Amino acid sequence: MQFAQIIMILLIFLNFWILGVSRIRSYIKILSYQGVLIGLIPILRLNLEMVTLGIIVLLLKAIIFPRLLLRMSKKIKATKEEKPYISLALAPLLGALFLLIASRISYELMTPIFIIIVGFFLTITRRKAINQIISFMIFENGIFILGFTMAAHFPIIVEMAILLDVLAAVSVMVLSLDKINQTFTHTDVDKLDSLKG
Amino acid sequence: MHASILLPLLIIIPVFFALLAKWISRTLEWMLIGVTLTLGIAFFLTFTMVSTNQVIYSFSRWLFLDHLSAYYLFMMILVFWMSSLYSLIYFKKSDLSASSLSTFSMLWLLSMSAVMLVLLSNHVVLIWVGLEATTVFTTFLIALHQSKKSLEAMWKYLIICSLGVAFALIGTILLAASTHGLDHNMENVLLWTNLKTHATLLDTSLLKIAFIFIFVGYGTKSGLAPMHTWLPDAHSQAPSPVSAFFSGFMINTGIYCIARFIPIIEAATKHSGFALQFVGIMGAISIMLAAIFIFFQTDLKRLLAYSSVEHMGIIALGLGLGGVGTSVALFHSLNHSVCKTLSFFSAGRIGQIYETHDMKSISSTINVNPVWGVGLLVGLLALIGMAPFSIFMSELQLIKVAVGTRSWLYLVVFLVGTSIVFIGILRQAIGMSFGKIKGGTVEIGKPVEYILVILLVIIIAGLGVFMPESLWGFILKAASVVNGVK
Repeated sequence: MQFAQIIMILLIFLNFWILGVSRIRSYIKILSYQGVLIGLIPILRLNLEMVTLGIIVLLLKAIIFPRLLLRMSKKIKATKEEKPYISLALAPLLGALFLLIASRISYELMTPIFIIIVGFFLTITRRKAINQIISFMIFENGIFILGFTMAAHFPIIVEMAILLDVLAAVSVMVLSLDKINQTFTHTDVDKLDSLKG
Repeated sequence: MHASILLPLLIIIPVFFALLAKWISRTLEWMLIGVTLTLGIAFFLTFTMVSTNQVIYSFSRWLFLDHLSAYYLFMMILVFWMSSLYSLIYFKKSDLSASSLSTFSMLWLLSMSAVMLVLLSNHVVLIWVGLEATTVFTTFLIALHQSKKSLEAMWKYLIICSLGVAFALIGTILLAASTHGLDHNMENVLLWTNLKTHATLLDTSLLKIAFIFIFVGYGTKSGLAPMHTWLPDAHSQAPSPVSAFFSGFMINTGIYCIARFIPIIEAATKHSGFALQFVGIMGAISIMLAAIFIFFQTDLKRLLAYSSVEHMGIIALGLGLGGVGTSVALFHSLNHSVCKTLSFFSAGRIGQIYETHDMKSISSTINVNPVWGVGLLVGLLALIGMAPFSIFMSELQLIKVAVGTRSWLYLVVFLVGTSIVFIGILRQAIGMSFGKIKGGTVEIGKPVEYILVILLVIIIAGLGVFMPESLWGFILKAASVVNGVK
């Protein structure tokens, strides 16, 4: 159990870091660190099914998707989150509040709940479309840990189905981003505002 | 036995034809063949299920067809087949390239397969997987034309629905956690049929939180306010066959998922009415919010989209009333699906003829294009609950139920909301249908268009005047699944 606790603490630390980051390269890097830690959680259960699941998670969340996102960010020439809706100085402070809320809801499930809240917060406050995708992945990572700790009796095939479905969603997001970039020559979500009423 | 072998085919055949779509020419025709084949089997299975009264299981009970899923499958057969036929008519008149058409056929069939998975799965998580897959596959359907506005609508749809449906996953996890009191066989505890029989053993406090998350998640997909914000954009920007499918069927799958959870929550909380009240109140909010937006709307397709929000609200209200209200809600779903299909078909063709969806620039549709002009007029009149049509009947029944159960708050919200919608849509319908010809090319229309419109009008008017005994029996049985009565 010692290792598991260290992982949870590291995950919380990564979340605070990500709240204050503006460069998209570092954003993706933190996402892949998070992927490594999340892959380690099932691996530490040390049985065959779980180790397989962990390795697949590690490959997808720590290597394949961060690489894909990195390549995409170069292609669309996105380097920095200029002005998020809530400033980068304030966000980590809000993070402390989120952590407090999460620990109030449930002390044992503090880490997943905290990641879910942070992921949701980032998805709705970032202006760059690519950051919304990364934030959505963080949100999904939170749900993955929650599912892993709370619903231990999900059969492994179900876990896989969820994983694949989420990754399909992220792939579609990346493809859409490419299309948007071709047509608009920018990917700032706040400028996508012609549809109203 | 043969029925259980056929069940997975409903999911597999569309995928097979979707893979084919990349390699063959005349993809739209092939798509129609694939859809017809699948829906033919679906019809056979529905018929078998209803006539023998036996739930069909398949794939070690992970897939099943009971009365509720059979009823939704029946709606799906009507709406989806017509939308596929209509897409042939619609895309013949549009300027899409052959490769976008094959992409359309592929995604259309894949979405169909995903919807089938939602309707047929007996597993709480599998249903989530299916619903998330519908989001994934339908995304690019919105932006087939690759215009700036449609890409914007696509992005909003993708982000809002993915976030929303992720909430449903959190809810599902909480639901799974609430089964800790059960001494269970790992694999099967999360099947609907098992959850229902063991509902009283579930952890109620966790279950209540789970239901709120599930409602927010699946409610996003079904366009209930305040999670509806993607809906007007997506419906108005997507090509009309896609809007018809979204509005006529896809949003119903969200309601279907919520309806599946209601009996479990109700049984677990000893029929305290927690789930029913929650659903009913959210429905009432949707009606009011949609009514306000409809009143000030100028774009035809957005008007229809907000009307969907309103009708989803009415359906949720009906579910919230419980008892007979549930059957009324299910009947209303059918009526709304058929009406909305007709309205979007007509709006799409009229949009092509006038080259705009601005209702001020559209006039005298009845004279410019008699087929779709009449189609639109009938569709809009039916949607606001005009007398001889089917929606009038289901709304009248809803009022009866509300009076019968003394739900005065719901009744007031329903009456005020629908009255605002009535005035708002009626004046637009009159303005568009009659008056002087301002634009658009006069056309008589092809026989297949006549057949499609006449068929839909017959269903809409027919169900308003005459209710077949067998259909009502079917609805009552489907409702008894939601109401939790054996």
